[in-house]
Amino acid sequence: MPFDSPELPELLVAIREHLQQLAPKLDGSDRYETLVSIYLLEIATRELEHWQRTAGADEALLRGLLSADSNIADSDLCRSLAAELRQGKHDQALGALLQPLLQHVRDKVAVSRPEMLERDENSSR
Amino acid sequence: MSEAHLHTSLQEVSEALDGVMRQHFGEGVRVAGLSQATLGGSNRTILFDLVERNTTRRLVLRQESVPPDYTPFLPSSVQWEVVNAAYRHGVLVPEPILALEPAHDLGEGFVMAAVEGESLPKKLLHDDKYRDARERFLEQAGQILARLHEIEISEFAVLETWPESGDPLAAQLGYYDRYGEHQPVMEYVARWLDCHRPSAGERVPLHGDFRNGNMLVGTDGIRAVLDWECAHLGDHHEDFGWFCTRSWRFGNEHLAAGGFGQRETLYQAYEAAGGRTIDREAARWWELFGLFRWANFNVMQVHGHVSGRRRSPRFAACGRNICLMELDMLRIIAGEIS
Repeated sequence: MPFDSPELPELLVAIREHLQQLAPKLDGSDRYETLVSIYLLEIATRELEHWQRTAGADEALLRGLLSADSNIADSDLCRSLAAELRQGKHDQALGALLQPLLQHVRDKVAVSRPEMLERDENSSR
Repeated sequence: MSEAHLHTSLQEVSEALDGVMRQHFGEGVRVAGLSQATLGGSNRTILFDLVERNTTRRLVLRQESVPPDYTPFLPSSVQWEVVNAAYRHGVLVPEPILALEPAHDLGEGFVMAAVEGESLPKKLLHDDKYRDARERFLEQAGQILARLHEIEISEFAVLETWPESGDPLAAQLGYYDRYGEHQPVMEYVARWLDCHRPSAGERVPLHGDFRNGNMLVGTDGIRAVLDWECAHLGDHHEDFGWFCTRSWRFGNEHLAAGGFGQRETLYQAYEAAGGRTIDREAARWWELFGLFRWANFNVMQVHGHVSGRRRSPRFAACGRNICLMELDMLRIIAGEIS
């Protein structure tokens, strides 16, 4: 449903701007936790954008890796795949899961720390 | 419970510590100049002076900051035994002074000699002041591990029943399951590790957290190895895998051995100092295992936050950083990085 202005991303920006003004006035652990809070708000902002841009893509990827052909809810996909792996159901084909799981992780890193993807693409062996 | 003791002020700690020191060293001593050095994941450290007439000795109090049943860290009483055994056998650890007792009313912990030195990895890797120390670092690190690993494991019998002293991967999964996470990549890496286990090395006493950041370094080189709360018994390659894990290179990704140099320099120093033979392939398996273990430590931190035991933004952030380790682990398996 439509909510009143400011919209959710704008609410996050408002909090972030406040914390950015606050941080230099603090020291020690208060300053550190405030800087981490700014970092977390940036993650939240990127996660919102990510949902809007790639709705359902990661879920489809994970669903494609499951050996069980069932109607597992989106919210249970990670848990189900984790359980199958623990049970050894993919031991004979671990190689086949590698690139899809790399894509799954890159999506997470793109939200948490996008600059790491750029750096890693450039890093030498 | 030990957490309660962390809420006591430095003044209160000073008074209690004064009593402890008089009991141990006699009425002629007093405690002065307290300062909190660090409040880490499992310990709080407080520096203080022990004053007797005209002499002053700098000491360190390490207090347990987390009840050990929620963490993979050794309780203080066991750490005390470990540090004493290492010290007796000439491993470079600060001199152990005394263990706290319940009557001291300071919680769990112990007192050691303070050692002057720097432990911040980026300073050690980049500050001109430590250029000579850097040159010698890997050679010294190899010698220290050789000394530690040659000690009879019976000297560390107190570690025998610790989960990590059994199957290391099973121990990690045991913790992981307690934290209630179900991440496909963590499970994938666990299976990969299980399916590609190297042949077993020799069973030795391990430091368990031997890395850039846990050593005090002077301009002349390493002066003390700290943070023995992860000590256990196990494959001699494990300490090498942890040391060379990507998480401890601090920007020098191409220098696998702690950001200081190449793995081979460390291996050869260890072997030349009388250490066991390093199976180079096996050591790589232990590096991947180290990343898995480090990711699991982060799972523990976020669990502490989500469960309400230790809430703070920095522990919440640990949860969102796990994917960085997951990326490294998968890229290593894919052969893209090492």
